[in-house]
Amino acid sequence: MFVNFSRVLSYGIFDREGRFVGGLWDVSVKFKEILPQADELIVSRGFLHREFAGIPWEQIERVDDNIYLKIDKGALSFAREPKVYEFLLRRDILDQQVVDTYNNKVIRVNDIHLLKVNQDIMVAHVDIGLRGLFRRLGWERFIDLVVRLFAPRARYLKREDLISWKYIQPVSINPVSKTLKVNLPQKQFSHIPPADLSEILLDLDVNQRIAFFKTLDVRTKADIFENLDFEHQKTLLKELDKKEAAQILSEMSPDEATDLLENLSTSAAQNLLALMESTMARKLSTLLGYSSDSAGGIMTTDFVSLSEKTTVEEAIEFIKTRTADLDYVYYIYIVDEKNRLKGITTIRRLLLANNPKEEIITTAYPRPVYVYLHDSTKQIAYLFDKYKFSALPVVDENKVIHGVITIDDVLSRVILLAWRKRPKK
Amino acid sequence: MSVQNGITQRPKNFFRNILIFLSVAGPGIITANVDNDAGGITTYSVAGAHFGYATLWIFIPMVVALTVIQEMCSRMGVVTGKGLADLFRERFGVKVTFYAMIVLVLSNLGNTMAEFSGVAASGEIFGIPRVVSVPLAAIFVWWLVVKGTYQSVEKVFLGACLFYVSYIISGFMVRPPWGEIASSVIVPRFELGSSYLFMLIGVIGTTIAPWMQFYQQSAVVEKGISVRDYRYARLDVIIGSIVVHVVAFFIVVVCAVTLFKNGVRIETAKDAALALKPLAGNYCAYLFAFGLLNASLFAASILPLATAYSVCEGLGWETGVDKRLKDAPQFYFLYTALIVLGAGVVMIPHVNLVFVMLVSQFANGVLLPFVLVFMLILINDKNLMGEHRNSLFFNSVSWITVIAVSAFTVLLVFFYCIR
Repeated sequence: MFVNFSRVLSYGIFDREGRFVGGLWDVSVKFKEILPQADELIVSRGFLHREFAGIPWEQIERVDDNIYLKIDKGALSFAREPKVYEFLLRRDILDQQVVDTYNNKVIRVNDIHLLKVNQDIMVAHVDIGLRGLFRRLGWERFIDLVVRLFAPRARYLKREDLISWKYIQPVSINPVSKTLKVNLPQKQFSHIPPADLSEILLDLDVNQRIAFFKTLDVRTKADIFENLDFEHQKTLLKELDKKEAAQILSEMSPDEATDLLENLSTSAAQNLLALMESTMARKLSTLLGYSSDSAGGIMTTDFVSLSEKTTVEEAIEFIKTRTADLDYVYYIYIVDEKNRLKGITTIRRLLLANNPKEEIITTAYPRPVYVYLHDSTKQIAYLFDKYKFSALPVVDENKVIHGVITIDDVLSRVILLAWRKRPKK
Repeated sequence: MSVQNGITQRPKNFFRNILIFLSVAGPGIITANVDNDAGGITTYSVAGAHFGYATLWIFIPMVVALTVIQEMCSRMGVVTGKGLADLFRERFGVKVTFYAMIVLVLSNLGNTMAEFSGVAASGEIFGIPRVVSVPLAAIFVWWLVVKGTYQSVEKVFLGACLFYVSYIISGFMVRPPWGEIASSVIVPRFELGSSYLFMLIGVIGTTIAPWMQFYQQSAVVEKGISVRDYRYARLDVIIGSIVVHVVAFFIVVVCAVTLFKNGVRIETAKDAALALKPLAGNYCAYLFAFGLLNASLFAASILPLATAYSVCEGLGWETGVDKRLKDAPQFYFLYTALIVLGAGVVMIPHVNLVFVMLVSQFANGVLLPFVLVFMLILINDKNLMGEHRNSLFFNSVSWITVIAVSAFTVLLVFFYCIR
């Protein structure tokens, strides 16, 4: 049977002899099963000098329209402050903000939908609807009546805006440790696209934002960072310790990381670079050297380049086993021993090759298209349009390959030029 | 650190500080300035015209009171990252928040109507009929917020603040006797009689209104000011409350020098501008009217915005100028409805706003003590504010301020009712 928490809060508490003990103040829950289960209730008495006492669930006889205890009123010890609880329904859920991982947004809880099995109470759903709001205000019946009078088939009467608890992540913060009070398994967030996750993050208040962010793994943190604009990146960076910031930066794709570093002050950027592993740091400081409007400035240094001697078979094996951490592997750049660009091939061309033993250069496009380090964004955009590639290699005067520009990097620059506005992330 | 280093760093830090201040400034200055809206200008004009310099001394304590209250909002916004309505909801539950929001909507609806009638009045001084000026103003303020982002809206609002200079200029144009004024500012002067007391309370009542606390805190949150930059936000509040009272001071002075000296009685700000024409010249009158137009427009945009922010926050709906219409329908609905209603009622020919203003004043007076006391409870909450909660000294200052302001506001409502 389902019952609303707002209703339960109005229950009186009576002892073994049927004497009134007090009102229900709050309910503590434990997170053992899938649904959190009520394990202690807090009874309060008095108004100006309010006193509290905790009652473990084992001492409860039954819960119907009131709560009846197995014990005697005298056995309870009341105190001015309730004892410290990990997680309370009223304090931490009711009227608070939570993350709805099903619809990927931050919501405010109007009521809690509880499941009552025998005498046990479990949290089943949270109510975020208008009707839940009116119920809390004590207007539910009146509004129902009015709506029924004017529009008997209104959606309002049928719809219950309930969200299953399994999609709910509370964001209340432990005031001491500044961490989230309940950390549900990380799996919950793994299915949410980073772009949505970063929007959720922005909907939280500053403290929750930081606490929530800290629960995520480094990979997800980096993904979120790539989706935030600079102002928000900067505020988050301030809150993270330097080592963690450097870690996140290393996980980000080099072009996004460079964008971030470029916007920081020189000393801050140098500090971060010093903490990063040396290969990544070297990559980034090279990228930082280029003007942000040139090919060098927007390129990424993550790409697949293979020696011209590689066979098709080896190339496919290489892609399968060695490129897991690269975003973009469709194009394979063929280079000589001095890293000079010799040709461009694609996974598709490799797969369609007649003879897996032949060298990959035989599958390459007849003439490689490339841009120079100092070509401007505009020139590059024209090339993309002309040749219909989705990525172009970037070379220096000796045709040594330095990086790759993907079409999305150019697109965000072109949008910026065309509408004088950063795309809303 | 070497001496040389110290020398080279000072100017650099100085400019850096100014830059940070400029990026943080806005909410405090804007909120305080909206205070000089159509209603405020009317009150100050009447105060100057009927009592000369006798009410000037109140402005110094008012600067302190306004700063104390608004600083707490700013601090709560920065530290918690939440709006005041959010905090009300989380701490005091849905019932308190909901009814507070209803009263807030009532009070702000009345005020919005007053702003649009200010637009109509100042338009008429320039010979623009209200059937033209009011709809144009309504469309302008609506478009500004619905199509804008927080940054662009804030820039327009800050720009509007600059136009208050028109009152300062007109203040100098009437060549006031500075010596006499200076002594009236410093030495409190009481006059007996209920009309003087009523005027004094009116000045206090129009200066601190509940929407200001809600709006300022939301604006601070939407701006995303960090705890590190908080001292700049505090400066923003202080500058705001000084500037608003300087402008108010000049309005009183203009009316005192011209109208009071000649015994002209006025009822509205429009009367004041018209009466200034023969006494102080056309330019002075036009500047005065232009100030009124600017103030009314400015407030007609902020008041509905503040209401929409607070209500949506409290009830858990999406808010924010940066959100699109589709993402925050309730926010934009409320904003639009307040503007349409506010402008619509003013368009009705021969409409009498006295009753509406009475309801609005009453709602203000009932709500303000609650808001202020709840604010003090929140700002002393250790879990919420941590090390940024009020110190003992600040607490005593703010309790005195809150009790005094609340008492005056309740008195104002009382006076309104027995009149």
